[in-house]
Amino acid sequence: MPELVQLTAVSKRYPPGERVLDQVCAQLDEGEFVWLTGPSGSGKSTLLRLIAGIERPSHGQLHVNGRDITALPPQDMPFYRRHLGLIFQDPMLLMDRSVAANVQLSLDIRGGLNPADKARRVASALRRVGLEGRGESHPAHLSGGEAARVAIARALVAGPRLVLADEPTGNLDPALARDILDLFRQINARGVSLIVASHDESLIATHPARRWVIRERRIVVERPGAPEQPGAVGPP
Amino acid sequence: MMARWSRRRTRVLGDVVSVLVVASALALPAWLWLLHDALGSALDARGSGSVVLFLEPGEDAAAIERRLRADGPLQASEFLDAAAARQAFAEFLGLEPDAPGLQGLELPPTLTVQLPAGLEAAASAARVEGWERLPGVASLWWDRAELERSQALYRSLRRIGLGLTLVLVAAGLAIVAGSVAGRMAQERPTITVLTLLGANDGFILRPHLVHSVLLGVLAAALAALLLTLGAQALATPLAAIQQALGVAVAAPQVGAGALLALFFAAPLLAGGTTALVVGWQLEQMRRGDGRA
Repeated sequence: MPELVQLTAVSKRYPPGERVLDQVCAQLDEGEFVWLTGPSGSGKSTLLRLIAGIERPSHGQLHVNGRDITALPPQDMPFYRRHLGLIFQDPMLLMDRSVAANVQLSLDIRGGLNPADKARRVASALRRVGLEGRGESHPAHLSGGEAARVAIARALVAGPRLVLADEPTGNLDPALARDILDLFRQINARGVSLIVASHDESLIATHPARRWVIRERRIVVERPGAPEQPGAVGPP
Repeated sequence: MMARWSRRRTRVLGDVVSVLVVASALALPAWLWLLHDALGSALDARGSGSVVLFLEPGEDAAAIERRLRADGPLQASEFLDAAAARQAFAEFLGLEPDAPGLQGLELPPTLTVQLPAGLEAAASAARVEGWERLPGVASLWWDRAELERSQALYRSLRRIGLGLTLVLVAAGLAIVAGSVAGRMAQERPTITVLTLLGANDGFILRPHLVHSVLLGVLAAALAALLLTLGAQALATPLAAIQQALGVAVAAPQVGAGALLALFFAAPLLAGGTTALVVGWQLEQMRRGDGRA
């Protein structure tokens, strides 16, 4: 499998010198599902923000699809981000527009599609997350699980190859969390790569996959059913 | 729901205030310029003052006029011999030329010359001073103080117009900038989502720019209406100018060029200010969030 994401000695420090990540090395293959785990405050969100190009590493290299995104000029960063699917614990829906308009945002930003194509893709994305026919609903009238699904539909509608999800089930009850996980499995089965940050061990146990565990500001890679790999710290 | 209504009401109110201020910022200085132009044309029509030269009897007025023109151009000249001077004086008094009080009155022949338009009082004075010593000229009359007053009024009007233009345009831009900054602050969560989804500054700017340009067009339309009404309201001050200067002053017209300038300037100013404010605010947000 070709590598989709490659982190090489990535460090992140915040002023006045607080180290969050230190010499992190990891890789994600094309079509792979990876759990990103670690205690609260360990740097999971920071790592996802680095991969998403929302923040820049203090040191190291970060390649996505063979491109060093640490070298991307700031004006190119939005274009890079359009090729990702980003999902957060807070669905971050815009309350002044409908569900369909929220999902369509990703397509509006990308541009290049006519209104009919956009409507077709929005309807398809909503169908995939089980919200068929809810396009005209107002976000305020959705349950927590439905809002999370809208956020997932918005992340998927533009057809990203990589989805980054930061605690997407953090606010949901266990049954809804399992539904969302099933959705991620289906997405992954279509060849989309996912990095899902979570500290919900019971949820993680229901879907055995490779784990990036952040400990002491570094990543320790664990494979399902295998003990922790001692050689996983540092460059692969 | 209530909060959304309140936000919408604040926005509409902000838009109305922006349109009013921008329209005033355009219409009021433009109105002052109309008044300024009217005064300018009145002063031009009047020249830089009239000088009456009282000639020695029997002098060749044409030769003296040639001598005056040798110093520089004159806007107009009129020669009255002794008889015509007496008739003009009688007309001024509302009497017949042979009225009892005027019988035996000997008036000198006069040469009245009008100095060219746009000549400063000091320059006019320098030119007129030498004329008194010309052979054949007994004395002369020139109201320098009156000329200086009208020129000072013209200059003051220009300064007030310029100052007011600067102040009002600055106030208009400040109101537009404040309104845009307020909208940006309200829409910060939306902007965050758009940025995370890959929107660049241009995508975020576009709706704000369209909004501001539309407000600019509305403000220009209102300014055009105010200016047209204002031009009609100039009748009273123009009548006063006409009376003071003794010349006919044409009522200024709001031409197509002025209207075109309004419809060009207002959207440009509003759009330009919006682009600057949005760009600056996005940069501040990036720095605040530590975003790349």
